[in-house]
Amino acid sequence: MDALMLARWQFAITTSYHFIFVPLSIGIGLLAAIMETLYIVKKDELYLRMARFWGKFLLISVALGVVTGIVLEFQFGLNWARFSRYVGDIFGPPLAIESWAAFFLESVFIGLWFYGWNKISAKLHLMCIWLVTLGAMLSAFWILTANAFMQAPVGYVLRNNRIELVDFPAVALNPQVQLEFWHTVFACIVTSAFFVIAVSAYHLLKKTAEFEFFRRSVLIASILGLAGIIVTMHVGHDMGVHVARTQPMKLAAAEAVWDTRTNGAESAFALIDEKARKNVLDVQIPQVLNYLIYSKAEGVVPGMNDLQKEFEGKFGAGNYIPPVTLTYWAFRAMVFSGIVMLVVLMWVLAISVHKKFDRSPLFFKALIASAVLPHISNICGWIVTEVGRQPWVVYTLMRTSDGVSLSVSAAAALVSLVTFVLIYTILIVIAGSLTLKLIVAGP
Amino acid sequence: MDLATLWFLIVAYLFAGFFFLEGFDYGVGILAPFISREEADRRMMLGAISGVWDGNEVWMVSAGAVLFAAFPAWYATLFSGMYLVFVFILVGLILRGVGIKFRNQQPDPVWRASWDKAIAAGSLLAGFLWGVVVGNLLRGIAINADMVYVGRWTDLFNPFSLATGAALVALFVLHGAMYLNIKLSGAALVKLQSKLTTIYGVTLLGAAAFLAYAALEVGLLKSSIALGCAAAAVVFLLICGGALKKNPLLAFWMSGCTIIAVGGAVFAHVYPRVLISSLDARWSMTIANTSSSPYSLKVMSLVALIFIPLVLVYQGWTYWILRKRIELNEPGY
Repeated sequence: MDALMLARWQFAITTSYHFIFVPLSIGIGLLAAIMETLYIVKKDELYLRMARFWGKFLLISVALGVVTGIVLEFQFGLNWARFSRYVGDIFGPPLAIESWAAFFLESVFIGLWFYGWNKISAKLHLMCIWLVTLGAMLSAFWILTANAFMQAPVGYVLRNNRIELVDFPAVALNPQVQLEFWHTVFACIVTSAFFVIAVSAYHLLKKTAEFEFFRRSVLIASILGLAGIIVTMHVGHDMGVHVARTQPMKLAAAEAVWDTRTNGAESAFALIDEKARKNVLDVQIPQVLNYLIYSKAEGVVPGMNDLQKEFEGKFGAGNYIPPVTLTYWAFRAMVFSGIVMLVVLMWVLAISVHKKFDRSPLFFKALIASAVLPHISNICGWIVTEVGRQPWVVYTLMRTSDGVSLSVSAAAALVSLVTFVLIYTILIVIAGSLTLKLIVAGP
Repeated sequence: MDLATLWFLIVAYLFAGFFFLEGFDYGVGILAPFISREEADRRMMLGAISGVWDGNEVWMVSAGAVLFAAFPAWYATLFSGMYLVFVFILVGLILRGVGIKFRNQQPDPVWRASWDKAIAAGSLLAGFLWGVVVGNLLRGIAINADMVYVGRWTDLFNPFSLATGAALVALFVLHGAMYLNIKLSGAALVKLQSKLTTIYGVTLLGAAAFLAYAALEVGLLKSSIALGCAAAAVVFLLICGGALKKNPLLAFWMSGCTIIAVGGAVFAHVYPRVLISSLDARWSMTIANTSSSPYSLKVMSLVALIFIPLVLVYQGWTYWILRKRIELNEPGY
């Protein structure tokens, strides 16, 4: 493998790993904040114990989220020096603002929240966890602002052999980031809701002494989770509509549309031949795709083969089609997990409202297993977004292959990749076993 | 003063602040195994930093992000050029970051002892390698006309950069000791105090030797500002020694000011360059040819104007809340 491929693998692996913990940091923070608020309002000690118990998992996810996040911040310079030089003028400011306006907030107040229980008043302590959550969400906003620029560049001009910022409000108000932000933040809330439900399901299954503790946890998590999945899906739909306009190639790849389609049929199952640039088999549902994108029966969905010709005309010879099979199936896995999550959350909410927890062990075991669903959805969503944008690193402005560092040899890239994979593997085992111990120990 | 120079100063400010704050975090991590191996003392030493180190580390994150935003080419060449150095800084940061958070989560002595080792090793690795980065900043690295590092990775580990790493670790250890000196209580404090003179003596000798080495090797004292900063560092370090026993708080501030003054000397030496080319002086990267566009800098200046004071205020406030010495068996730690 050459240095480019190694750098891509390293970024993909370290980002995916980072995104196991980010959603939990954002969502569990919000859940803990709500629980502590209920404690202050209702003066019920149980809510305080809930905030403290779930806070332990916040601690673990923040610890891993932060250390793996710094790896990403450094990695732009480490492996993607030419990208950094070319887009730093516009890509850097959101990251700098993130550290000042968001990350400081989260990090400073999380220390005070964990270690200030007896040093500050209850209300001040509550303020800390809300500031942590606010910081985490603002952090997501600014990081996604930088990402949104890579998907749909706005507010820039090509000058001095690089991309220069000319309109900051346009970058921060990029329609792409509005969609990405709500889609991502609510997906984070769903992820955490499933975590809380799964842990609670374990205790309800084992019939531990903390029935009321976990019943209320499930209730709060399923309300938040259900609201979360509805918003995530709704915004996800808007995102599809947006992508159809701004990145037609990505949409075509996610739907495996090779030749421009006028009948609006949605692919349900396709066997894709990327070399021959066609589908060997494509089971289609009539009309659905046009309704998804255009909200009506009529419409034209440009196919990859036609877009390829168009791009060749604009940008010269080259392959402008992303890895289709991966994008297509990742998109389906994301949507399918989302639908299953919606059903599960409605079911769990109904059960916890009616306090009917007298279920078969299989039910609880299934709930425990369902904690993996949001992670599948999250990672697949990022695959659609990032893989579907290839060969571009910044859409239509810079190819991924042009962004890689020249001074990093394949050997050096291999050393770092192996090092990170090794450490991350050890960490996930340790963090996993610690999490299990804390779950079994209970509140 | 143009905006780019202002942002050069902000970068210097963030790195100096990072070395001041994370300096004592790293120092505590490195020092802890040498002070005491008893569980109660260990908890107390870790407790001294566990409430504040998250916020401290953001200074580094912020320095990195600001470097990216204000000087993209500087950021790009620095990180890609010193690739493996930064990769292993990250390894160190991961070990200590996870260690500090995980250590007290399980009562198992093996678990705790392992994380203590990880925290110490991670702190040492990160602190030392940041020193290697600084040493290479002072000395210059093989950068060609296209702002690309063309040297080998082994070139980055030269006698001077290794000496800078050692000197920085010594300063961090001293600073960590000064911090523990104002935070510990009881038996742990007594154990620390019995070692203070040794720690200080070694650091003083090391710092003096390094200063002479840097003056000869890279001409550190040629610029008048660098000379002034270095002189100030020496004065601060001497005051720190004088206050060691009588005034722990002053001693802590003085060890911190020493680090800040050293940071000032480094950036003054480099100025108006940002990365010195050891191949050809004309290829040295400068503030002018690495900075972002004036509009970009203007936007960030506005953000900085609001958030630099705001962050200082609330971060300072948390230090005020957590200002007391750590008591034995304090809940939460």
